[in-house]
Order: sequence, then C-alpha cells, then structure tokens
Amino acid sequence: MTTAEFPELLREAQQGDERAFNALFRQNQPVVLKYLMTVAGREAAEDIAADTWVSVVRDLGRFEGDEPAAFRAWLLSIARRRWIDEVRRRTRRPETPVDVLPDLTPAPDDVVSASDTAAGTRWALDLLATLPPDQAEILALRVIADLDVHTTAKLVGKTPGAVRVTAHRALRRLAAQLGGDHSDPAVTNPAAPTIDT
Amino acid sequence: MTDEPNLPNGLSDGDCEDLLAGRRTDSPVGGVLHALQGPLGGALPGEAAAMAAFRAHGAGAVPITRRGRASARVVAAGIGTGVLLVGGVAAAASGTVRDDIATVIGVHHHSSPQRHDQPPVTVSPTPSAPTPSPTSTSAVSPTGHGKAHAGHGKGRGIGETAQPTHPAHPSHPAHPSHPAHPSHPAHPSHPAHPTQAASSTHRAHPTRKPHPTQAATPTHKAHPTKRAHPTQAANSTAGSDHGQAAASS
Repeated sequence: MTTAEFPELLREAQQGDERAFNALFRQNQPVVLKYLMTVAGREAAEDIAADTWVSVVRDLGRFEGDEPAAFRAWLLSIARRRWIDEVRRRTRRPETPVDVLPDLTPAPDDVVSASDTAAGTRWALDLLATLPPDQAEILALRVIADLDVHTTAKLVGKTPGAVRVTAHRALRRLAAQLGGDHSDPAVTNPAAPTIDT
Repeated sequence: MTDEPNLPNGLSDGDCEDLLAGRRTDSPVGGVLHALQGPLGGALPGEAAAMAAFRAHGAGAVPITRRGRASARVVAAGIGTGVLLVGGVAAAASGTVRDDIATVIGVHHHSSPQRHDQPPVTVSPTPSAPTPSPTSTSAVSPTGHGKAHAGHGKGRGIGETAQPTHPAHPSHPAHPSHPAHPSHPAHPSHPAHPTQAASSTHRAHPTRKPHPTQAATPTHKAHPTKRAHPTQAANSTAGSDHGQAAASS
C-alpha cells in the first residue's frame, strides 16, 4: 500500500467496505501483533489484538487522517490501552523472569541473514522482550511500527528527549546481550541470547 | 544513565540513530532491528474475528459522532423548553390552566365565564354555616370546592376561591398587552381583583412563596401574616383571614 492509496482505502473501510477493511487489517495486524508480543508477551498478544480490532471497528468512523503512519499510531494507541486494561485486570504485568523464559526462540545461525525469515523475526521479538519494559516498548514503536520520535513520545506519554534516550539505552543493552562488536559487520553466528542481569 | 550496566559494546548516540534509521543493518544489533520488521509467518490470527466484528458493527454505517449525539440532545432540549415556554406564556396570558393539566398539577381554579361575571360574594360566619372540620379538605370534591368554601366558618369569599391564577376582572383584562391601570399597579400576570386591590396589605407577594411544608392544612393553619401559595389556598379549607379581610373590605 502506498501513501497515495491509503486515504481511499481508509474511506472505503469507513463506509463499510469489507475488502478495504480486510486490507487494512492485513497490513497492520502484523505490527499490532509484534508490538503486543513485545510488551504483553506471546501468550496474551493475540487476545489483546482481537480486542484491539473490535475497538478499531467501533471507532473507525471517528478516525481522521490520511497517512498510514497516523493510522498505525492510532491503532497502536488502542492496542496499548487494551494492553493496559489487560494488565489492570490481572493486577500485575505478566513478567516472566528472564532466566526461566520458557520458549525463547533459538538464535539463528546468522542473525543478519535470518532477519528476513519468520524464525528470525520471532527470535528478535523474544530478544526484544528481554529488555526493560519501557525500552522494549519504545524500541518496538520506533522500529516495528516505524513511528518517529514525536509520535512515539505522544503515544507513551513521554518527552521526545526521553524517548530518544530510552531507545539508545535499549540499543546499547541489545548490543551487550549480543556480545559482539556492533561495528564489526563480519560478526555472525552469535551465541544464543545470553541474558546478563 | 546511572542505572545502565557497564556496557562493553557501547554505542554512540550517532550509532544509535543510524541503527534506528536502518542505516546499520550489517551489525548484529542492526540485524536484530531488521529482523523485527520481518514477517511473522503463518496465517494471521484474529482475521476471522475482526471481519466478523466489522460485519456485526454494520457495514456502511458510519457511527454517529459524539458531537452529533450532543447536538441531537441540544435540539431536543430546545424543543422541550420552547413548548414549556409557549405553554407558560399562553397560560399566563389567558389566566387559565387547562383542566387536565390542572388536575395533574393539583391546581383547582374556577375560570368559567360565569365565575368571572359574578361579583365577589362573601359569606360571613353564621350559626348555620357548617363548622370546619379537619376532614373537610378531603371531603371536598372538585365540583363542590366553591360550596365548601362558601360555608367556611371563617367566611372566605367565593370570589376568592378562584385566586390561584388571579382571573382578571372584565374591566382589567389579564392579557399582557393590556397593562394594568396606573391606579392598579398589579403584576401583569397577577392582575388584582377589585376586592384584593382594596385590601392591598393582604395581597400575596408574587415572589414570596411559602415552603411546601407550610401548606395550609388543617394541622398547619396559615399564619395571618404569611401568605399561602395560591394553590394551597385553593385546596385548603383551613382558616385564613385572607378571605375574611377581603370580605370585610
């Protein structure tokens, strides 16, 4: 979908066109799922995503905007609220200690070359989920949803400067966990994500 | 940065911005970030549920915005207010209240033409007059209201039993377009009856209304200096010197 196609698609979906809504779903559901896998865990992601789309269906007519990024930000803001609702319902965030992480996807043999595969994506998501929650969320919004600093800051309720600093911390922590020299492009076959606490 | 561990492979801010911008995909961290944007694989979960929700919501129906609902409420409130206003003005102008409405709100007034044409009749206490009893109020039927007052021991004038809306004297129409004579500075909506004008010291102040608990019931007789609400006066058979004063005048 190009930026030029999005306004037409959105208008048709708002007018009740199932095909247009399905296109919006297919284009954005992976982003929603990956974001929720990062912040809420793999188990709860699908349920929260389902709740998210119910809210999207209800409020789609109220959305105003013609940019895919704006729609993505609106969609993720709904997903975030649904996630917070879920956390409140459970009264605590479902955090799993890193050392007993159940089904951490094994690291691919070649991180760089594996980035285009589903296994590589799931491994990267698992690795992202090991970060502190605020760092994982901001990195997910910046990288997965491709939101800029200001949009991310507005979504999470922080200042742009705080978002920038948090993202840098997340990247440094990732680099430390990977254990390799980030500047060396020849580094391949990294060890499985070893978590230093 | 004090809470950060000592990172052996520290990245500069420039490196971080390059990674976030996707300009450093050849490093392990860059590979991770690139992998985050990759496909999830398999069928997308939740598609059937989302489409079902979309169909259930009603295809083609753009929901009414909150602004729209608010506007509808404002319009409805405006219409209701207008109806009440017009009805109130009409009632004030005619000095009458429709019988069915009067029944609902408990106002007993006598606005028949014959009543207007009749001169105020006063009844002085006589031995033959029935003695007011505490149960006399409940015994009074709407049709026998005036009769009950006529036989009141305190001598309320029949002409004053219809005072709730202060029907205008033929020579002093109550319509707002017919202001009261300067010598009769009555409120436009409450033109004074000639007998009331004569007893101006006992005229009920239009803005003073007794508390509902001060109803002139048989157990709560209206104080001579306290004016009962017109509706209370009309409903009550309890003694009040209002009518007596008017009768004496």
